Amino acid sequence: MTQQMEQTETKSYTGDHLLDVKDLSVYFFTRRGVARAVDGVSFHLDEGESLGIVGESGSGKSVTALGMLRLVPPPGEIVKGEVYLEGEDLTKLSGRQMRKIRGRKMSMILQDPMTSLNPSFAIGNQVAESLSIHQGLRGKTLKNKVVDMLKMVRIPAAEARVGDFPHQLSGGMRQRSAGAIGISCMPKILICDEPTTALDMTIQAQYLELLKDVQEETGVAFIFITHDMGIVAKMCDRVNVMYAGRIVESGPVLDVFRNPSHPYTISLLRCLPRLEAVERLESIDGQPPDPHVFPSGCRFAPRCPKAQAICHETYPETTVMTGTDHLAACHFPGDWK
Amino acid sequence: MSRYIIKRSIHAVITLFVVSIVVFMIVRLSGDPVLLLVPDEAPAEDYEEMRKLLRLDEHITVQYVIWMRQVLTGDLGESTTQRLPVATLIIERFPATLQLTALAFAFTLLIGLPIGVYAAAHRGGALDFLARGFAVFGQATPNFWMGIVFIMIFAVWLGWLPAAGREGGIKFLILPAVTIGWFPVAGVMRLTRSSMLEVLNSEYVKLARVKGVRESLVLWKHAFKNAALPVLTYSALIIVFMVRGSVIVETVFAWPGVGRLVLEAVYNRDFPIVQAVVLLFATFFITANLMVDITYAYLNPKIRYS
Ligand SMILES: Nc1ncnc2c1ncn2[C@@H]1O[C@H](COP(=O)(O)OP(=O)(O)OP(=O)(O)O)[C@@H](O)[C@H]1O
Ligand SMILES: [Mg+2]
Repeated sequence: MTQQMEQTETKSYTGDHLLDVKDLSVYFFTRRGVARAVDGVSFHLDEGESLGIVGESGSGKSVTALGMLRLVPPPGEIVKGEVYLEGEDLTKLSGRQMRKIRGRKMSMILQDPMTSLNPSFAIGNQVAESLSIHQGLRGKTLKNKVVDMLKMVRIPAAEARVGDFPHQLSGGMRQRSAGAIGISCMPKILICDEPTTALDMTIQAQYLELLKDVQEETGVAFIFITHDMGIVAKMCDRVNVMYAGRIVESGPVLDVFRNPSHPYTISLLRCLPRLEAVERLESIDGQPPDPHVFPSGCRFAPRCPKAQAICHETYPETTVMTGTDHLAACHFPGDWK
Repeated sequence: MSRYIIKRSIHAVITLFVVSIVVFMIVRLSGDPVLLLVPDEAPAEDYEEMRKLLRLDEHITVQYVIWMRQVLTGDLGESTTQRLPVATLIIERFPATLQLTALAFAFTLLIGLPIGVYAAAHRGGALDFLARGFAVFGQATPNFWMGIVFIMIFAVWLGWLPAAGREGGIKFLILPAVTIGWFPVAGVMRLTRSSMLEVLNSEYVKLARVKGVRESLVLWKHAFKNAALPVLTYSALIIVFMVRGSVIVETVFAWPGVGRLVLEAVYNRDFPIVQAVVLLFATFFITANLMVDITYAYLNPKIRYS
């Protein structure tokens, strides 16, 4: 906590927030047309804070994260918007400048730890790489730092495991190694994409505890991408609910849980008990819309139990709900209990 | 790892043994060499005598054991047409073939790998387009035809390079080496490209970029090390292809190598040469395969540490 205070005091940028994403849009120009995977998303993140991004599969969570890092794979492109990190717009940086941000100021733990570690390199090498790129560490210092990192994510007998290859590690250990890679250069922001889907219940709980401890030690700000409202409740200060490439509701976790205002958020919360078994959000009737052909009105309207004529015609304005920071994009917010 | 190598080596020896039997049988089935050695008007006794001399009257297994014992002591028999030890003939010709295939192999990797990587990294670009066109063309044209076309262009029309022979340095090597390498270059390029494309889509390549790794290192360190594995396996096939191709290409370019030796021997039913060369090629291939397997194991930690 004290560390967080210090960081706020010594912050070197002039903007309000550590991270400020403004109207970010990422489109995929596929053979079938334009897929608007992320379509005008705005949010912010402060130092040491934890933000959840929840939504169904395909709602654009991972693409939002990749957009922030400017790593959207072709045929995807950032078509609009700004990403301010410490007051600096990342979308304006050169490739070389951007490489200095990645891994050093903003890092990410990818969705699937089974495939996100390189099978050809020992785990120690993979942790060492960012340290040598960004901090220029070499030799013995580097080696010690790598072991420290593996210890920080509580890999047992870390010294002995440095030379292990990914296929020699269990799922949980791979997940932790991926965490060690992400945290190694003490980034300001660490994005965790589906931090626990690959893990069983107890290991999942341990891993989340671990991330909390890492946050306390380092003061890193987290963005948790997940399907699971349970993880949001446990880990996050604020939450963005994404649906079909847009944020439909956002706010402090307590406000959103007590007072969910978008019908999609409500249905997500209804799914909660079942979700503990790490299930996809299939319990909401119907399918999310195809990003190539979003409906022109509210994108949730076709699945919304209480949709009116206007919902099918115009996209709803964002309404401020309880508290200033709690927003919902719905024509009839909060009327759905 | 060492257990793996021992296991693979034992495999190689067994394969070699089986191949030697097959070679021996096929040569025996392909025709009676005595008929070629004995003049048509010679009496039947001469024929019988020749059979005895070559010990072709013994049981086939005995013939095999005799032959094998000789082979293992370096005695590959005597050419029936040239009256010289086969070993001498092969040793005389082998350097030429080795030189040719080694250059062709180097040429294949030095051109096929970088272009394949580049084409994958710049997918849809001009070079990718050219490379893919070349891959289709290169794999569709037989190498004797390519050889003749090269001779016409570079030797006859432009006069830059000699059309045939070996005496006189590297100039003489270029056309036959390119001809042999033509098809494998196309294959390596195509395989490298598709293997790289797959790897470049992987999560671990994405993670390398998330870490801030330079794009050239993403390509050559993170992606290529994994993408090279299938190409390495393919390079064992390339060696077979080149050795096989050398028979035709050496003939087209009058290259005094083992390939041409064996082709002449086939025409003359000179079976000691044929069986020795086929056995040599097989040994060559099996050894190459073994080396590829070991390199593969070395590069692939899943095998190295098991
Ligand atoms: N490489 C791609 N090519 C074309 N379209 C893509 C590509 N990657 C993502 N998309 C589009 O972006 C949409 C959002 O994808 P994204 O990966 O962000 O979903 P997500 O919310 O992370 O889902 P999940 O929970 O399954 O990880 C997809 O529905 C798809 O239409
Ligand atoms: Mg995702």
